[in-house]
Amino acid sequence: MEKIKIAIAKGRLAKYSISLLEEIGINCNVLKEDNRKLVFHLPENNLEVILLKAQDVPTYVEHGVVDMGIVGKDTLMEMERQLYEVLDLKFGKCKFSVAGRLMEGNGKKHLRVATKYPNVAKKYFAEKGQSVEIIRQEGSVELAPIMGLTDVIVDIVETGRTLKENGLVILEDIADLSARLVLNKVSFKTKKKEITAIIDLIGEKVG
Amino acid sequence: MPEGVQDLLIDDCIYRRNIEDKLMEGFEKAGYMEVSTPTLEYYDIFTKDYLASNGEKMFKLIDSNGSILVLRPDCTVPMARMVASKMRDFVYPLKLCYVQNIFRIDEEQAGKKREFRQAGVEIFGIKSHRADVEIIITAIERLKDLGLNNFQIDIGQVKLLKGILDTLAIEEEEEEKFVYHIENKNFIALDQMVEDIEASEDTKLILRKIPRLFGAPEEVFKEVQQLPFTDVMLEAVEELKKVCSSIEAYGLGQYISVDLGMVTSLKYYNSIIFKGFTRDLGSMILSGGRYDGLMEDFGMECSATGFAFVVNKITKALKIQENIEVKRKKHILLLEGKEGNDRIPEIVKVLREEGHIVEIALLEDWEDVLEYSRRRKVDEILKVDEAGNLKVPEELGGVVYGEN
Repeated sequence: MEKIKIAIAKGRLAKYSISLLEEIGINCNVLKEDNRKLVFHLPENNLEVILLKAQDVPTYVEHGVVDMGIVGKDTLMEMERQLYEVLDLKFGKCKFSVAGRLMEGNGKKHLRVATKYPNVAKKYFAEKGQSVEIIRQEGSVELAPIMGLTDVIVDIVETGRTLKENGLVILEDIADLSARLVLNKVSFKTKKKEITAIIDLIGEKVG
Repeated sequence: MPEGVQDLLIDDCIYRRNIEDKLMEGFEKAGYMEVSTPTLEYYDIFTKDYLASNGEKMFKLIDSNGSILVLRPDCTVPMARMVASKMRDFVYPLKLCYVQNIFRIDEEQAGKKREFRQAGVEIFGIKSHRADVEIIITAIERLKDLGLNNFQIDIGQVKLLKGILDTLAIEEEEEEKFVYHIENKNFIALDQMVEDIEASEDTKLILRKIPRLFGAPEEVFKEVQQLPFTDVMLEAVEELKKVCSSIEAYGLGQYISVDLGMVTSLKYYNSIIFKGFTRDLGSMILSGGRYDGLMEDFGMECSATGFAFVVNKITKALKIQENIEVKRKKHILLLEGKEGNDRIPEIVKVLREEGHIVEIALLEDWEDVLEYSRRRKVDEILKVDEAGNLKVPEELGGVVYGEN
């Protein structure tokens, strides 16, 4: 049996990812211990789990240093890496949306857009034929329209509460998002048996 | 230094030359003849289709007369240009091989090389599957010869997917999306798209199934039997089967697998395509396929098929497998003495002919000579005595060379 390496995105998806692995019969106790380790060996299951910042998961998978990864569709859309995206894990559901103050943004000749996802925003507006100026943000993007830096924002929206509390509304939806199981293109071929076994188990769980 | 390029220091050059020499010697022994195309080509020799998917990745320069030049982004297109313009009258099949640098702009900070070496072969003028078989066998034999372990050649068939998509009444844009999702085995998006199109249940089933049909040839072909393929598709599969069974008959079946959902971004491929990899490295080490239509772009009707190894990837895989070994030559450092130096040219010649590395010491100080010898891993320090004999220096024992 070949050892399989799995990268899991830290942050809001990590908890769900770990319980998913537990549900398919993988003992993940070492992952839940409160320490600063980033690489976890699970010899019983012939697995190695590594915890990465979400944006690094597609990169690690593409380069083949890990065989598979669990990461949000938002990150995948932004990074556009060469990998196989095989399963919708159906947790971490949210949307990519355009939001702004009511009545603003629509019908404007040139939009200014604040976002943490410049690539997604650029592509979306290019497809619509809307000319835009993208302003990349690191922190709370909701601030940008409030403070008058931009007309709208492109961001992931889970409940819409943050938007509402800041006086913003969703103007358009771009895409539905959720966590995905992604594979390195070579690993899927060379370790087909081991990887297919994991996909099938996960597939059954998430339906 | 610019991103994506690299200096190769001593050992890396030794490995590269060693690997390339072995590859080229192997190609030559299989009847391929070496050719070389220039680093600069006109932008215009690449077709619109090719430019649409790869144009942005080319390094471009402006010639003094205003025409656009590119640094060789691909070996196959220039090969086709060369054959169509200069080698029409040669005897066919024309079997050519090369090792050349490729230049491609990739996204910055993605850890990808922007200059790399490809060693490959092309066969021009054979329409039958036997040429595809021949080049795949060549690839397998070369990798075996290099001592690479756990490698696999994955074979696909462009005609199959094309055969399905042609039956669908969909826009080109949508077709591209299908291809994209199949290429990326994005089962989620693909299943969604299949739901939404107007097509027979049979077609939908095939579209959903196709990216999942990969693995050992016999298993995949067995699964195909269960599917409602049309005659066009079956014919495409039949070609693939023939290729596989010929390779199996040659005794190399263990190295191949098939992927019916294999897609390539290079639009000139029109039939059998293949990619090679090893489980120890997460990226491709070779790729190739048949490109019968490409020669028409250069005004010559001619079937063609070929592949190229990515030399740096192979080197990397061999290193990971700790399988890279270059036979070390004996290294001799020759000191000049007070007398007898007139014998040195003859002695150097003889020793070099025996296959040793022979250096005449340029350092004067004994301690410096020792330090140099230690760090360069010199095997023997020798000098010529008054009588013209080759000896180990007095400080190291003084015996006559060959008697120790």
